[in-house]
Order: sequence, then structure tokens, then C-alpha cells
Amino acid sequence: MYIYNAIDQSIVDARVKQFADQTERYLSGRISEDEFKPLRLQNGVYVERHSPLLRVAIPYGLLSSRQMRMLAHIGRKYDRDFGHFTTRQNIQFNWVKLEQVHEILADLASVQMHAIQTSGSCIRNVTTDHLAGVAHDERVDPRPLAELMRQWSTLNPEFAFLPRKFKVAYNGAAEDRAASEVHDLAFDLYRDEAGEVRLTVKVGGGQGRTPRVAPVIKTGLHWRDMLSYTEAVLRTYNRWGRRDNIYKARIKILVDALGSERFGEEVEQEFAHVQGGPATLAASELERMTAFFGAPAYHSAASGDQDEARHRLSDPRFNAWVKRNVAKHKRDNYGAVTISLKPLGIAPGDATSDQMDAIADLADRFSFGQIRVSHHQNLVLADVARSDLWALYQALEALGLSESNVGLATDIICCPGGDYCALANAKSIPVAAAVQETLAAKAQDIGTLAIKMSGCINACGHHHVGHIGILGVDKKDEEWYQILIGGRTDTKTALGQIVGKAIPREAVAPTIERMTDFYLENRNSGELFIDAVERLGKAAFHDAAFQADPTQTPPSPKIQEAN
Amino acid sequence: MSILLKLLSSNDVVTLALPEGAFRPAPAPNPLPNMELINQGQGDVRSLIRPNVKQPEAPSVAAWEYGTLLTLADWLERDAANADVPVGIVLMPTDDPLALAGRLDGLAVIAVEFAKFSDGRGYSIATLLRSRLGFKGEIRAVGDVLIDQLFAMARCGIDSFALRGDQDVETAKRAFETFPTVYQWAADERDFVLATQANLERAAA
Repeated sequence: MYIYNAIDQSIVDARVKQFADQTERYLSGRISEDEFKPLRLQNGVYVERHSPLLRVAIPYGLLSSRQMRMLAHIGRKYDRDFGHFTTRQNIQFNWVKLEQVHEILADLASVQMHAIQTSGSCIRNVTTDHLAGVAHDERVDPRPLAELMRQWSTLNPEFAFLPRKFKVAYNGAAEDRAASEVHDLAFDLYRDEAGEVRLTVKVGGGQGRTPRVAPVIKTGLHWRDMLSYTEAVLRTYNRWGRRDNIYKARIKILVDALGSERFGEEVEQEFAHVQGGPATLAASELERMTAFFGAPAYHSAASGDQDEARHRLSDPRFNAWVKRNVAKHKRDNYGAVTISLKPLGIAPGDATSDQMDAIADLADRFSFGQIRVSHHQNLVLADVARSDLWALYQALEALGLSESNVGLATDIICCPGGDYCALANAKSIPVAAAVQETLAAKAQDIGTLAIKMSGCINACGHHHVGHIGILGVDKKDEEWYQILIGGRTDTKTALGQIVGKAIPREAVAPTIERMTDFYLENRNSGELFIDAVERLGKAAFHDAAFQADPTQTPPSPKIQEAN
Repeated sequence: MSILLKLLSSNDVVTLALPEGAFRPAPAPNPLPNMELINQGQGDVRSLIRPNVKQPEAPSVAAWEYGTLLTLADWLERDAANADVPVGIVLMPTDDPLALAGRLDGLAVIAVEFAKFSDGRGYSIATLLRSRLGFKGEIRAVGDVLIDQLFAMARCGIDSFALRGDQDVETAKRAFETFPTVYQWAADERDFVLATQANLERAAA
């Protein structure tokens, strides 16, 4: 992984000092509430329903065991012994005190971490595939370019106050595990015939109240021009993006207004000026950066497949865990292991400090001391020898972390919702819990099913791209829920459609169960839920879910508008 | 007194005192934040969100040391011939600085309006003035010019700063040294660390 040099460290240290000073000036009344807000946001601090919250950047989801132990320590010292891994591969501490944040930032800086630009109207933490570097279907490892983007975007002076937030994602594989097409800026990486890394650029994807799949605006961009082209995109957005209405300020609205072709031309004009300019990366730079992400010292010994097979035959739970939680690795004798943070009864994505410490130890023992965070809010040990799978499984089981539900109906993506978030219309965590509980017994049979839950239209829980999405809405100060169906982000991106009317909380799990039952009755052999939705049509699922339901009521005009 | 900071070089900042009211005056003093309240969270804030943001209509300053600040339109309409007196203009966030291509001669000061400190258009405007048009005169930030944005403003090529009335001058002068080094190129042409082609050539030279 990328290791800071003295310069990187000096920048992060200076940032800690800057924020300590800003906090002090705020507390003594020398900075107003409104003026302090973007300063704290750009250091990851929100003030939520019951407490301030600190969002820590985990660039492209990659952590060392040492960093994970520091996160555990922060959870213990400043929070209530836990942290929450987010859909943007970051971690949030839900119960911090504002006056202590600069101390937390100093602790983070001591392990080469920070909270810079994890919120605010700026370039946010860069995300990518949690299997980067080990995926069997990978064309190009996106992490070296993602790190260059992290550095370039860090404290970028021109783009510190954009119209709205700006999220960048990278994908370098056949299956897009980063949901890149619902980001403001997405790079698809591939090699041209000469072996040079090139990028397809997509702009203006997003979720929230105007969900969009990002259109392609540039193909064949040479990697050396990545930053210059990004500068052109951002300058165009910074100058012409709407600032009169915060709900219409994301770049997707500008792309919509101009049309992607016209927007692309505008960027191209700007790019013509900056191409070959000072942001052009040096020819050797990709090589230098790639060295940080080189393969670890893999064993080439026999794979231990026989042991694995023996244990799988004798222990059905281990067998289920290997099937669901161990992804194919580019090396046959290795596997990428997902540690599910979605056991029943736990808020999706939460991990206790003790669990974080234990996972750090397991990473040292089994996976070269590294951990990844996936946007599904799970943790990944990406380089586990298959001969170690049984030992790792037993260790995880002892920790209560062996839930074998990766990709299943119980592996729900879920925002913090009304339990924490000051913007939420409705609670998310209890709804996810009810769905998990209802579907737990059938989940293995149902197979791959992405259920995604957001407590409001801002869509932090990615409900637009769930095979089944759940959206919390407010109806006359009551919590109601809309169900969406048909979204996906795997080999293609599609946005889900709202089906039926808003329903009360207790009806959500039964409604979804009627959908999965309908699938179980009507599926073809080997057919995934989402493929059945495409074959049978959303209307068929709507009918199965809603016709029998007496609780439905017509939606309010407000909700219809939100639709 | 209105204070203008002038950045002569990265560690040489001079102050110029101008008549009271030359720049945006100090707002009412801030109430001390109630930490207990903040650390208890702010509850449901949905009702507090105002989606519509008021857009600036007029510049926050009308004059500079040697006269009135013209609008972009006034300047473009003007006959370029009488260039004896130094001229200052003010660009609003919606103005296109590229309209000044070929019309920079005779301009001593271009003021860039930061109607609200969180409106970042001025950073791109200043960048374009310096790097695209090659403007060598003074670029002055006016409006909501606050300590915590000075570093970024300077990086975008702004070299004078009409501090809002309540900003502490000594703290403001130190703000230019907030970060010891920077990652990326910006219009101030300061050394940066990303290994770009330009950087390698610079190192080799």
C-alpha cells in the first residue's frame, strides 16, 4: 500500500494543526457557526441528531493492520467502543466530542490517516474495487491512479468550494464492484494494444433525489492526462454548475441541462488548454506508484485444496462460508475473504473496537497485514492462502464474525438512518434488522440478492441500485417506506423503479418476503433474483408484493413528487 | 479601518490601511458556541434546510485606492485608447474572465468578488486570469474574505486580500504559511510535489 514520505506526513500534520486552531477560534467566538461549518465538514465532522460524528478517510478502502488498531483505539478512547464502516469505504465514529476532534486527527496522523475532505462541497475520498489487485477479472489495478488522484485532490485550492460534493470512483475490472457509474466522476481503466493504461471517463452519475447513470464523455484518455482532464471537468463544473439551489447543484444536473455531448465538448475545450500542462503526470510515475501496490510474497506451495475440500465436506457451515464469503483470487491457491459485518442484530457496517483489533491480528496472521473496506460495508482479507481458510474460519467463528451471508438477502447495505442522522426521514437500522430476520432462514436458498436501505432521499444506502431498494419517506411526520426493484451495479448499471405505494415500517419485511417468495416459485434453474426481475418484469413482482396487502395507502403529493 | 493584505512573496505580507467601510464591514459578533448543546447533537435539522441560495447582485466594493471599480461590461465597452490612469475592475462570480482576452492592457487591479466565502467560482476566475490570460497585475479578493480561505486564494494567484472587517490581521498574515508544501500545481506557480512531467523537467534543469 502507499506509504507516506516526509512530505505527505508534513501536509497531514499541518492539517491537524490548522483544524486545532480553527476549532479554538470557533470555540472562542472568533469564527461564526456558518463559517465554521464547511471547515469542520472538510475535516469530516458533522453534528448529527445526538452527537457530533467524525468520518475518517480510508482512501480506496485500504487499511494496514496498524491503522485498523488505531481505529479500534479511537473507538475506545473517544467513542462508545465501536465504529461504523460506510458505503464509501470510510469509517465513522458516531459519538465524538467536537473539542476532541483535533486530538483524534493527531492520532490518525500518527498512522498516516486523516479525515480530509470526507465531507463538504469538495472532492471527496476516492473509492474503488475492494478486490483491486487480486480480482481474477481485473484489467488494470486502479489503486496507483487512485492514490495519485488522492494526492492531487488533497487541499486542491481551486476546487475547495464546489457547488456540491464531488465523488470519484475507479473501476479496472469486468465486474464493476465500485458502483462507479453512480459517481460524479468515474474512470474505467483498460490497456490499449500497446499496453498503455487508458481511461474511459464518465461524468454525472449519482443517486440522491435525481438518480443518474453516468454517461461516457471521453474514451481513450491516456493515464498521463488523467489529472489535466479532471481539472478540465472540475473547472467546467465549478464555473457553470448551479449554486442557486442545493438540490440542483450536483454535476449531474449540469450534465443533464447541457446534455452529455455538449458538456463533453465544453470539457474538451478546457482540456485543450491544459493538456500537456503542469498537471501532466510523468511517464515514470505510474511505475513508481504501482510499486507501492505490488503483489505480496505469495507462497507458491500446493494450494491445500484437499484440506479445504475435506473440511467443506465435513462442515456444512464452513462449506457455506467458503461458497459465499471467499471470492476467486487471481492466484488459484489464494482466496479473498469477506468478513461480513451483517450478522443478525447488529447495525450493518458496525464493528466493535475489540473486533477491529482481532481483525487486525487476523490480517497479520493470514493476509499480509492488510484489510480492505468494501462499499457493501464489509471487511475483506484479500490475500488468504486457501490452505489457511479453515484456520481463519475457525478464528472468525470464535469472534462471532463468520456470518456466511456475503451477497445474500441478509447482507443489507444500510445508512445510519433516523437513529443517528439529522437528515433522515425514517429509521433504517430496525428496518434492515426486520428484513434480515424475516429472510434469514431462506437467504441461502434465495442466493444473490442485494437489498439496500436509505433513510431518506439522499440515498447513502444506495437504494436506487439495490436489486430491492428501500427508501424511508416522511408522511405527515410519520415514517413510511417505498420499495424499489430492479437496480444493479454489477456488469451493468441500472436504476431501480419504485413499485407500489409507501408502506409502514412493519409492512416492509413481509412485502419483501412476498417478492422473494414469488421469485422462489418462479425462478428458472440457476437464475438470480435480479435476472428473474428482468425476465418476468417489475409489474409481476409488484403484483406479488402488493395485491394482497391491505395496509397500503395512497402516497401524499409530496412523495409522488419525490418519485 | 479596512485592511488590505498584499502578498509580495510567500513570506512577505504587507498591510495597507484604507478608510473605514472600504471593504465588507464586520458582521455582528458571534455568540459563543454552547458546547453542551453541540455535543448533544442537533436533532432533526430537515426543517432548517433552505434549498434556495440567494445569488449576489452587486459587488461588495465600489472603489479601490485610485478610483471607482468598473464592471466587466463597462470596461469592455470602454475605448482602450486612454490608458493613462490605472484602471480597476471587479468581476462577479458569474462573469467570464476569458472575455478579458486581449483587453488586459491598462488594467492595474482586477477584483474578484467572493460574495459568500463558500462560493468557489472566484478560485477558477483567478486561476484563469493568471494562467490562461497571463494577467500580471494585482488580483484582489473582495467580499467575504476570511482567514481560513486565504491560503487557497493565494494559491489561485490572488495577491491582495480585502479582509472583512472582523478578521484578525496577524492571524490572517500567518495563514499564508498554513501548509509547508503542496501536492498540486496551481496558478501561484509555487513548487509542488506530485511527480508530473513539468516537475521532473524542473528538477533536471
